This record gives sequence, C-alpha cells and structure tokens, in this order.
Amino acid sequence: MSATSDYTVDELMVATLARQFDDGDQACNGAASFLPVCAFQLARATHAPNLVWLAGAVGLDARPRRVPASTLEAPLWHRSSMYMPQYEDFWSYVLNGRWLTKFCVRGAQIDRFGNVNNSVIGADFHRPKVRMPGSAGLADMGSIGKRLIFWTTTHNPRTLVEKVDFVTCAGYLSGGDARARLGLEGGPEVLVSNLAVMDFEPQTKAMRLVSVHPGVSVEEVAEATGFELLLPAGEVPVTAAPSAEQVRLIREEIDPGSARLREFA
Amino acid sequence: MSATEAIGLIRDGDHVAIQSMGTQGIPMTLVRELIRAGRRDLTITSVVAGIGLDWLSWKGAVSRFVGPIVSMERFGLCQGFRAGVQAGQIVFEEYSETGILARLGAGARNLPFQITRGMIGTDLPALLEDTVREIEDPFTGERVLACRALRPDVCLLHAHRGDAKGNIQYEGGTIWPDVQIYPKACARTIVSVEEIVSEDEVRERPFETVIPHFAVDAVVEARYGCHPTSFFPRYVYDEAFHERWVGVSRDPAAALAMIDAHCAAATQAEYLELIGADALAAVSNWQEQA
Repeated sequence: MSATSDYTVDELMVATLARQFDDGDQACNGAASFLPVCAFQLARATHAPNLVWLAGAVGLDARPRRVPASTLEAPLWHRSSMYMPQYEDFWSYVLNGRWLTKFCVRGAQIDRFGNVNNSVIGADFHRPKVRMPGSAGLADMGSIGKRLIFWTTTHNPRTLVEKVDFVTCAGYLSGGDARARLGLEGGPEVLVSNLAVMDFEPQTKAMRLVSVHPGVSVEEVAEATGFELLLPAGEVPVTAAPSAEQVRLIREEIDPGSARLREFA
Repeated sequence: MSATEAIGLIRDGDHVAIQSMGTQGIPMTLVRELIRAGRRDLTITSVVAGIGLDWLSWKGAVSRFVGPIVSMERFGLCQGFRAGVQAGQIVFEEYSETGILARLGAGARNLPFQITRGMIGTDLPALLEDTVREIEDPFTGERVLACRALRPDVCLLHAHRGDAKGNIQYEGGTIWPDVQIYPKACARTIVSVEEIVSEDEVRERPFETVIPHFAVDAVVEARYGCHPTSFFPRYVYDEAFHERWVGVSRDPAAALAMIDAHCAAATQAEYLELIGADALAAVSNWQEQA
C-alpha cells in the first residue's frame, strides 16, 4: 500500500496506533477513546483481522455501524458476540495475564518517565487546584504488568510535564530500575501524540523521540514538551503516512461521522 | 413500595452505594427521592459516579466519595462534586477499580480484606492508610495490597423487572459491576425496576433473575427510572438533558434551579410528564439510529 498525502493528523494518529496492535492481541477501550476505537477497527480491517476488541470493556468483537458520540455507551457495542459482565468476567480476563496485555492510556499529565496523572492538579490532594475525574482502571493497568500505549492530542508543556503532580498510573516512577524494584512488569512503551511518536530509552526509562510527524520539526516537538526529550542517534525519522486505503477505511467505513475529531475539540 | 417509603430506610450519615457507570444505569428516581428527603452527610460509593453524585453534591448531601472515578464521560466533569472537593467540603477517597472491588468483595464474603496488585507504585496507597496496606504473600513473599472490607449501609440499584417479593431480573446480563457486588456487601438493598411483575412471570425466566428476594429490602416501580442516564437495552442517555445540565452546572443558582425543578415532581408519573413524551420516545428509539 502506498502512502498518501491526503490525510489529516487524526488519521495519521489512528494509523500509528493501529500499528501497535498485532493479530493475536486483545484490546479494550474506556471513556472518550475515539482514536483507539478507530485504531482497533482499522487494525481489524487491515493487518490484524483477528484482533479481539472489547468495546467499552463490554461488547466482544463489536461491529458498530459508525463511531458514536460516546465510546462507553451501548451504540458502540452493536452486533457484539458477548456482553462481558465487568465485575467477575472483565477483570478476571484482564488480571489473568494471558489476555488483554496492551492497554491504551491517555492522561491529563504524562511525565518524562511515563507516569500519568488523572487525579489532581496542585500539591494538596484534599484541597486540589483542579479535581480531575480519577483513576478508574488506570491505577490498575500501570501496576499489573500491562504494556501501556499512550496517546494524546494535546502535545504541549501542560500535558507533557517534567513530573506529574500525582501518580495515578505507575509508569517508570523515578526512572532507571525504580519500576522493576517494585516487582512491576510491563510499563509504558510508546506515546503517539499529535506531533510525534516517542518511546522510552531502555536504561534510563526517560522518554525519547522516535519520529516526528510529516511537516513537524524536532525543534517544535522539543518546545512543546515540558522536559528535555531524549533524541535518537542520527537523523530523526518522519512518521510513516497512512496509506490511501487506510484513510478511506477510516473516513468511509469506520468513522464516517468523524467522532474522532471530538478528541481535538 | 413507594420511592419515598424506600428512601425512608436511609439515615443522615449513611454510606450509600449507587449503581452508576458514567452516563449509564444510575437509579435517578431514587437519587431524586434522596434529595427530596433532605439527607445530609452521606458517603457515596459508585464505580463510575455521574450526574447522580453531582446533584447530591450540589444539594450539600455528600461529605465523602469512596471510589475510582467521577465523570459524565462525554459530558465532562461533575462540576458540583469538583467544586465541593476543591473547597475541602467533600473528601474524594480514591481507589483503583480493583481496589474498590476488592474492598466490596471482602465485605460481601465477610472477610477482613481482599488483595490486589493494582495501585502498587501509584500515589494512592499512601493516602489510604486506614484501608489499604502492603502485605506479604505467605507462600511466595510477593508484596501485595490488602484492601479492607467495605460494608456500606445501603445500596440503590435499578433493574428491568422485579416481583413484589423482591426477585430482581436484568435483561442482557449484569454488565455493570455494581449489580453483582452491592447487594452482597451492603446491609440493605433498595431496587427500582422498570416494571413490577408477578412471581409467576419471574418464574418464566429464572435465568434473568440476578438478585434473590431474600437479599432485597425494597422494590420500587419506576418506569424510565434511570433517566436522564441510559438503561441498556431499554433506552439510551438523554443527550439534550445532559447538555442542558452541562450548560448550567458551573453556576450554583442555575444548577440548583434545574435540580429543584426536577426533584419537585412527587411521583415518577409527574416526573415523566415534565420530561415529555417526545424526549422519552427519542431515548427509547435509539436502536434504530445506532
């Protein structure tokens, strides 16, 4: 499939996220997760037809006609082959370790060692400057050996911070072997933003630039990041553009109502 | 039983577990009745609290929330709750999802605690000294978190059908974790249902009965008892209603006016008249548009 120049950043991010999921994987999505929901369906329609998807952590292998305005509610579970009871079944399959080994994570703050804050802004937990929604399953997913795939549509110094105000989801903590010392497996692997793709350098566990999106400079990414981003050796590659067929699938088959743009509002 | 009689079981200072999954499945008829009863100093637990907790917060009924998240999903943060926490009037005792489910699971089985590997490495355990502590697996030495048993005073649930005796049926399985754990962990269980049916009708579909009558203290008939939230597969969330709420919910006077206008209805029939047939038809016909 050849790359196309007729695409927008949301479609580039969907195609990049889709590449993180393989044919044998199982994926689930949480609230307001439009880009992952598009990415799972794109992967299923292209390189990973057997990717299992638990829509809204409920609907097994759902076939929604379009991406609805909510990624948790029933319209997303359309034509599922099972509704997964969350207390016993969902959490047992997640915690078991054999399945659902990758999890997509977005947070209000992400720091250089991949820790995520979705709880409070400010120093005092009980008198915060801003009380955010809270952990939900995030505080589990960072601690139970999952491979974490981050995404954000707001690559700026307020989202990508030196140190999170509060660790809601455990990343590499203070870096190096801090996470391993607690006996935690898995951890952050990649961050797909609206400007670039990052990973975590294996020794220090600090965030490192992998590629910049077409038309974005390394300097722009550095300026938009609230800490010193490690750079790869040599020239920084450009993120692969989606193919014309991937763009067609996203626009016509998967998300004709452009629900994914809700993440850019 | 009427909603008023059922909610009469709840006292000031009680810990109330409320079925809630963001914009899904909140027993709002019972929540409005709780507001009408003027209860104060409540501790609330939900898995994903939404508009119900927000209304209770605006009315000054809540002193503590014990759970993992408060969000109306696509409609954003619960502003009344958020303002209460930021002002130091409401405590958010925050857990991960497996953490709160471990506490309730221990409560359900009368155990001192259940364990989880969730939350390890996060900043949450340090804030939860009284309820979450690291212990050693006696077999392998692995460090895990013990989550102390939680036994709320009462839970509020909404179901599709129930009989007068208290057998409770759900269509399409028990998707929501609240339904499976609250009746076992809480001292009392109050359930509103879309319709009360005869025990004979319940016996036609025993596979849909998910809560046995002996665990249920009160059954209240409330058609559209989750409105404005969704109740799968009967009706979807009321988008226009939530948008009206988002529009007023940062302004205390306007927020309270909207809450009071909807809590003024003394019966569910009066409430449904206020919502209007068109709005109810729109949320009921969602499958055609899905």
